[in-house]
Amino acid sequence: MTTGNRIIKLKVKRQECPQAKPRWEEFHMPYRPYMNIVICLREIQKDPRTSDGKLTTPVVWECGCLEEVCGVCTMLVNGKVRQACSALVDELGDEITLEPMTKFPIVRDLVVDRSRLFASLKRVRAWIPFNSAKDIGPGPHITPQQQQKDYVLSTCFSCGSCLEACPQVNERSNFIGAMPVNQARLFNDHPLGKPDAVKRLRALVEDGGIEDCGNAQNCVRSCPKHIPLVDSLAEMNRQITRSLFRLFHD
Amino acid sequence: MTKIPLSFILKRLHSITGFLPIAAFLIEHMISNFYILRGPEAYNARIELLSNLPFVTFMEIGLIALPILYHAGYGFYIVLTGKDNASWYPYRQNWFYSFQRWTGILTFVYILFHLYQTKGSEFLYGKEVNYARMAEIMHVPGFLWFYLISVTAVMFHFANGLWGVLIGWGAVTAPAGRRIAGWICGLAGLTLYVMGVSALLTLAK
Repeated sequence: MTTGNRIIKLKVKRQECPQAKPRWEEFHMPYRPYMNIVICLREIQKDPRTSDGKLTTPVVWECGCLEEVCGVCTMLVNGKVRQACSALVDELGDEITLEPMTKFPIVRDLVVDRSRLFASLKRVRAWIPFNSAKDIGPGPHITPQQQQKDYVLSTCFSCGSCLEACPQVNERSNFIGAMPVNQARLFNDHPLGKPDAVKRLRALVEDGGIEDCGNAQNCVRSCPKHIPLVDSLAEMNRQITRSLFRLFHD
Repeated sequence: MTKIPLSFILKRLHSITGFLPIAAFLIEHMISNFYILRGPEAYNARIELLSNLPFVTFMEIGLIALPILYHAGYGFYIVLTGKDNASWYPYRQNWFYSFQRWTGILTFVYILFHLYQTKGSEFLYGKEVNYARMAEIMHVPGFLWFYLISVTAVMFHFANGLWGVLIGWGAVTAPAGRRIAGWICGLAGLTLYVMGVSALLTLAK
């Protein structure tokens, strides 16, 4: 179902392994309606040839859900961080560059190691600290209003976009970024998460925590789920200020 | 008691020095400069009044010089730990992030130069700081331009920094509150800016 002879030119930044030097390769393919970046990359897999006809290795990338909820296909499309599955060629133009995220260790081509996100979730104890085989009765009532507010916060799928766009996250700093701060807010908001609230605040003021935020607010602009990350940062700052005198008491 | 992380103390101290002693001094300084508009006698009397305050040297060092030195020193460290990306993510707030760092550096250079032209020259060459001396400086177009640009930088750094403090301490959290706080900080900066610029232009007349 090709339309005319419109050609999509895909420039991909490639790197065999973490030690290898990155290089650019260009791929051409016929345009198809409703094409997204994942389709383009699959097109390359069928016959991995660069634009000058040279046979090459297929571009390595990850994808899971194909509906912008798993986060693994997060990469730089035309220099900006986003998910490849929801990046439509119609909105991008005919010349598209793909690069791996820069704030995470590279694995290969467009695949990066995002395990620091999981480490930071553990750091801020982003869970409910109840785990009992015994029946401990019904949980507390949560108002629909709070459910609605918390639902938005809970839509984070740890893609790493907020870290990628943040000028404060880089190799010279160990800032954890907006994502774990938002998760700390979510679990501090939850009635069953409250017992660990002060512990979460303490984790946020440790080295590389919320204090490293530079208020550039790129996080909120880059979040694919439009989570109000600046609200979350400000809210956690408020909780820290409010409990400043009991934060380090025990 | 758990150990308070050093990075937390240093960062909050940077924030406190900015909005308490330094901002307070900036406001006082702009009010004093405003006396320039009332003429040489009023301005010289104001200088006389300030320099005759009890413990003036002690206050200048403890409440002005040391806070500025700390704020600047830690500020340079913050600049080093950041990596501007406003060319890729050209959002207003991201530009403000970059401006905050550039204006911080310019302000520090400017303060050193300003200090050399006033207190430094008084100490080294015995040129007393008064209306005539400041008018002499502002009659050199290069100096006047440098002062005008620097005052712009200072006021941006002040307004944007104050807004950052309000978010950084959680004083405003909701978007509407942040927006209103932004306008108030901007207006405060603009007021001081107008005061500073009108004093400079009066001297240059």
